[in-house]
Amino acid sequence: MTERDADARPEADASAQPTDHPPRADGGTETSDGGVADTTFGTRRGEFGVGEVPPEYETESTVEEHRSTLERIVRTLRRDRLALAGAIFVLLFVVVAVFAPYVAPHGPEETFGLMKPPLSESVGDFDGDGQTETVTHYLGTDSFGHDLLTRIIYGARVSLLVALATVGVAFSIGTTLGIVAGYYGGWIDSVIMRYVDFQWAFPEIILGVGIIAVMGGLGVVNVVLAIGIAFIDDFARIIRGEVLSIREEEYITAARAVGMGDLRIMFKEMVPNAIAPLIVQATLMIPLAILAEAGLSFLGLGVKPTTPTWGLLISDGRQFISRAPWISVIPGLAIMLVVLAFNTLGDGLRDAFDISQSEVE
Amino acid sequence: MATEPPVERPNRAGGRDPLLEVGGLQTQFPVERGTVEAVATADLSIEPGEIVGLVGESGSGKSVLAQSLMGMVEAPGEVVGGVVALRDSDLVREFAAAFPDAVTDVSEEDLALVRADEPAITSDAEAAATLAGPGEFVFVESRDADGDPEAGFVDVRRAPEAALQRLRGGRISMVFQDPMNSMNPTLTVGEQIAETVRLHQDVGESVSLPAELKRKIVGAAKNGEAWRRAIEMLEAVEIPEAEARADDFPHEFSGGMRQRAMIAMALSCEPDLLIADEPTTALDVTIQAQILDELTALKDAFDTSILLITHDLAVVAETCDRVNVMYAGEIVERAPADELFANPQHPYTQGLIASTPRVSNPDDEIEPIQGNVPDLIDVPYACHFAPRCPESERECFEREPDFREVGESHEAACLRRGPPGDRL
Repeated sequence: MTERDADARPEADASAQPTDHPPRADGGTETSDGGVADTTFGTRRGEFGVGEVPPEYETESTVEEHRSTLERIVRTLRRDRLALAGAIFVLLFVVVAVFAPYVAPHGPEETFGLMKPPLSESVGDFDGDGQTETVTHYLGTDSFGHDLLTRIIYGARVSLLVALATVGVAFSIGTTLGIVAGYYGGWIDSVIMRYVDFQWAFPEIILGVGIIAVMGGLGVVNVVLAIGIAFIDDFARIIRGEVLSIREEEYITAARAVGMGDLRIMFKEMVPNAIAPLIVQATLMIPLAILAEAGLSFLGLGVKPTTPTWGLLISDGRQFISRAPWISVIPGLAIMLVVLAFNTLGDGLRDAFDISQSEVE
Repeated sequence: MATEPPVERPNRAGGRDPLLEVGGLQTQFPVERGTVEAVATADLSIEPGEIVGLVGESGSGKSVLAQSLMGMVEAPGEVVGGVVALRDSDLVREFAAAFPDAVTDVSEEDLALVRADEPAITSDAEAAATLAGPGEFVFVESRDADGDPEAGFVDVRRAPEAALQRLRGGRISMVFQDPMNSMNPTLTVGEQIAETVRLHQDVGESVSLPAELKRKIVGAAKNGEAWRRAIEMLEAVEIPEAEARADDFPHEFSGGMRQRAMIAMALSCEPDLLIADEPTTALDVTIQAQILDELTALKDAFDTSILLITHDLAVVAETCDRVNVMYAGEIVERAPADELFANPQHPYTQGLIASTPRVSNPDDEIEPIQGNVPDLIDVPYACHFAPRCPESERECFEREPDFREVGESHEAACLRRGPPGDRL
C-alpha cells in the first residue's frame, strides 16, 4: 500500500526527496542552476519543483487491474485445493444431471436381474432384438431390477433441480424478509422475526410435511415450495443480523445523503455487503435441501414414487438392507459426496466474496 | 463547468437573496428524562458561492443541524419547527412541475401582513412558511408572464421523502468526517459516483433494479455517460490515473484519496450547496491542507456554496467567508471570518479562541473554558452559555439573549454586548 500511496501523490514524493540527494549524472550539483530563496522558511528552492522528480526516479504506474467477481472466484479456487475439488465434483454432478440420458448406461425404467450386487452381470435379452446380451451393473440393481447407476444418475436430476429451486425460494423470500425486518426495525421487525421464531421452533422436515399436507398432492413443485418455505428462517436470521450492523455504517448515511431511496439502499448498498455469509449459507442449504427432499420422498410425500430420486432409492432399499445393503448405501454415499462437495465449495466461495480479504493477500 | 460569477437574483428584501435561509430551526430528540434540544432555534444564511463556517465544540449540535438541513435526522429525532429555504429559480420550477399539489403562492402583501402580526419574524422565508397549508413546501414568490414560477424557494423541512430524495445529492450534498467508512466497501469508487449521476442527471441510464442487474451482468456500466462523468469527476479532484482508479474499491484508496473521491461524488451532480461535516478531521495536516484547497477551488469551478462544519478554528480562519459559532444548540455569534478572529465578541467565542494552542507562541498559556457543555435536556436557563460564562449576571439566566450588532455584519447573541444603551 505505501508504495502505491507515494506514487499516487507525486508531490508528496517530491517533497520527501532531499534536494541534495543523488549526485547528478552530468557531474553538476543541485544548486548549480541557482536555487531561489523561498519566502516561507528561508530555504532554497531546489531544482525540482513540486510534482517533479529526476527522470531516473520516475516510477511506472502501479495501479492494479481490477478483478471481477469471477476472477476472484477463479483465484480462490486455484489457491484452495479443497474448494477446487468441491467445485469439480459439483460441476460433475451438474453435468451428469443435465446430460443424464447420454451419460446413463441404460434407460431409467429398464429392468434387469433383481438385486444384483455391484459389478455383477445380468444375462438375457433386454433390448428385445432376440439376442442374449451380458450387461454389467457397476453399482448393482435395485429390488425392481433397475440398474442402480442409471437410477442414481437420473436421480441427480431431480435432486439438483429440487435443491437449487428450494434454495432459490428460501434465499429470495428469506433475504427479503430479513432485510426488511433489519432495515425498518420497530413493529415490522417484531412481526417478521416472531414469525421466523415460530418457524424456527419446528424441524424443517416436520414443517415440510405440514406444508405439503396443506397444499395437497405430490410433485416437484410442491416439494420445492414446502422445503423452500421451511428454510426461510435461516436466511432471514442471517441477513437481519448483517443488516442491523450495516445500517449503522456511515456509507449508508452517505447513500441517503446522495438521495437513494429505501429499496435502493437495501438491495444495492446492503445486500453486497451481506452476501458473503448468505452464499455460505446457500451452499450449506443445498445439501440440506437434497436431504430434505430425500426425507420427504422416503416418507412417501415427495415426488411420484416411480420418479428416480435418491431419497426414494434409499427408501426402497430399506426393506432389503440385510440382503442387499448396496441399494440404500450407494445412493446414501452419493448424497454424502455431494453434500461434502457443496460444503467445501461454499467455504471457498466465502473467501472469494470477501473483497477486502481476498485483495489484501 | 466554466467559472461564472453567481447569478444575481432579483433584489427583493434589500440585500441579495441567500441561497439557503434557515430560520428558527428546532430539532429535538425525545429521551426518557425529557427532550433534548439538539438545535434550538438556529438561524443561518448562505449566499451563492460562499463558504460559511459552522464552529463549535463536540456536542454543540453542529452535525444535527447539518442533518436537519438534509431532512436526515434519525428517528426518534425530529425537526419540530423552523424553515430551511433553498432558493433557486430552476429548483422551484422543477418542483412546481413535479409536485403541483405542494405549491403555494405568496405575495408581498401576504408577507407584510404576517410581519405586522408577528414582529419577531425577520426573514421572508420564515414569514412565508407561516402561510403554508398542509403538505405545501414549494413557495412561489413571483411568476413570469406565462405564469411559470420565477422566484421562490423550497422548504426542505416540509418536503416529503420523495422530494428530499431529489434534493439530496442533486441540490444539497454532503461530505462526511470519516473517509474510511463513508464509501461502500463492496462497490467500486467509479460505480458509486456513476450511480449518483444516474440518480440525479438525465444520462439515459435507467436506475431500476432490473436495469442495474443488466448493467452488472453485461458489464455495460463502463460504456455509459454516467461512468464517463465519474472519471471526469475523479480527474477534477486530482486522483491520478483516474480512469484506472475508478475501477478500484475504496479500500485500495488512501484516506486522502477517499475523501477526494467523496468530494467528487458529492459534486458530481453540481449541487447548489455542499455540506462538509468535519471533512478534514480524520486526515493528517498535509492532506487537510490539500483537501481544503481543493474544496475552495472546486467551489468556484462548480459554482456551489459550502457549509463547512468543524471544530477546528484554524480551518475556519483559512477557508471561510463567514462564520457562525454554535454553542449548545444555539448560534451565538456570526461574522465575516476575518472580523471574527480579529474581534471576537461573544464570551464563548472569546473562550474558544483563547483555548486554541498556537504554534507561533508555544509558551502562551492555553485558557480552557471552565466547565462542560450542558446536558441539553430541557435547559432551564435562557442563555445556554451563562453557567460557564465569566461575565454572566442573574439576568443572563432569565432573559433570552437576542442578536446585537457588534461590528460590521457582526452579531453576537449576548446581553452584555451591543450598543451601550442595551448592554446589561
